[in-house]
Amino acid sequence: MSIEIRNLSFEYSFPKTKVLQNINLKIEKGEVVALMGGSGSGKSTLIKIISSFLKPTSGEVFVNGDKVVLNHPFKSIAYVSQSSTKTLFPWLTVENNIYYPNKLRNQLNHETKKYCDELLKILEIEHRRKSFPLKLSGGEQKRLSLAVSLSYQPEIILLDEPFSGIDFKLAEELWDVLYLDFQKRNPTVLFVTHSLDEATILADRVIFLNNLKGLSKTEKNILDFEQNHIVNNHKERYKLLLNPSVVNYRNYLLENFNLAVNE
Amino acid sequence: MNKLLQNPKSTSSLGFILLPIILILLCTLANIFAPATLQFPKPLGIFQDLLQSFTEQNVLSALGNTLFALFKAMCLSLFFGVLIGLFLGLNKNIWNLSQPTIDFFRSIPVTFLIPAVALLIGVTSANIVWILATYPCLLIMIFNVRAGISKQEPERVHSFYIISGSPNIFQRFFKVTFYEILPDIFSGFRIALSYCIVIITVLEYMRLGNKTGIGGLINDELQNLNYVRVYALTFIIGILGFVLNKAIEIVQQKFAHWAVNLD
Repeated sequence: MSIEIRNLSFEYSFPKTKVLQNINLKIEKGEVVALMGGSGSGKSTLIKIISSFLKPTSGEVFVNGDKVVLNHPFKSIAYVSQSSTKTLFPWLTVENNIYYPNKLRNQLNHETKKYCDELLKILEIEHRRKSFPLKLSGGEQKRLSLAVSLSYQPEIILLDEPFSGIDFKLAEELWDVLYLDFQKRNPTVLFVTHSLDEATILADRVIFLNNLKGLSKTEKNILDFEQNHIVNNHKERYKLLLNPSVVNYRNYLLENFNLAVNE
Repeated sequence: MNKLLQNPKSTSSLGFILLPIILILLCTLANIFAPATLQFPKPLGIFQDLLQSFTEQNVLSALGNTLFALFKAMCLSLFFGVLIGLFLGLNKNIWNLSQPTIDFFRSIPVTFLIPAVALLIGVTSANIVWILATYPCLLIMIFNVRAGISKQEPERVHSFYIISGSPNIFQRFFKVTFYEILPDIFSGFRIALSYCIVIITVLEYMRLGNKTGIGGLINDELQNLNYVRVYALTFIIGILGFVLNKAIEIVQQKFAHWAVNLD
């Protein structure tokens, strides 16, 4: 499933603030794209528009050729918000939260349940399956949000700072989970991040957003993940981050980031 | 002792012990310092009479009448309050249209409506007490339901649309909105209940309707200068409010646990 954004602009009404201006972007099917930029550059707003939570002031968004309409999200899309407490269902247990999407879609069967249980195990929240979301720690809530978004195997995944507020070690473990899922299912992914490491490791392409110029700068990731076999575990990945070619790429991203922010 | 006062569970239990101590203290102070003409009874006498009154037919029958009026007023307030609250709250324009009317009526004391209601159903009607008590309780319920709807988390609603893969409004209402407003229904119900007890007993005291409730019985005993019984009956009203509030709190903890601090 591809995402296409044409001449998109967005302005908040109260207070009147221009956030995005004339954005054009195409994300191909199966591509993993990182969205970076300074605070207030419109990264989260852009993701919210694609997920149909916000209506653009002008311009259009197309998912697989179909125009996105407000509050009518594409059927096979997942969205992880910055704030997990706002999107989880506090009246359902952890277990029921993760089963919920498949239940609502009449797809809850032995196989999907097994897949959800596996996610609970991988994300290390299995011991909290009978707890309620508001009783979980911030990190556990984030993991649960990720688990819910992967539970119905969506074709498009939108992640808004999925690893913010999580310690580095746990974040690296979550990279593994996501990366393995991306490799296995080949979904189209757009994720907002402030971490160059995350962008370097996870994304095929990094986009720098500057709301003032309405400019998005895109560069292809120079790394070929499959050839480098970096997905095995986070320890290997940590070593990889010290690799000279990766360090060069990371510095190249940093330069672009500075350009986007300072323009 | 410090530890005891820092533990919410032990302070909650201490509250139960503190209540009779405060009552005895207040009665003793009133007995010592009140002018002789007021003839404030001794605390022991009041508590003895309180226990005695539970064995007397006329007290139990009055308590039954008060409870039945309370039950009818609360059922009606709950049913129509939630229904009207939803009707007005789910559409912002309808709420804006109806708000001036509601604001007008909320300032009118229920006692000033006695002539109007008496004109319609007669001052000795068995129903006049609970019909009058329904009016302010209904307004409380409407406002609480409306508050619950306005506090609804938009990101959670959107998250529901995304995970369910459909923007079905009815499904959204029963799976999200209902749960979002449930804590407000409970808190509104508890406020309305306390208010309802006050109104019903006052109206009974005013000798409205043809049934003798606890309020009516207090009036009778006051005419007989039986002050011990007057205060014993007053305590019964307090016990009634306390027990019913506690019962609803337990139900609230069971069905709307995510909005209740259970610590």
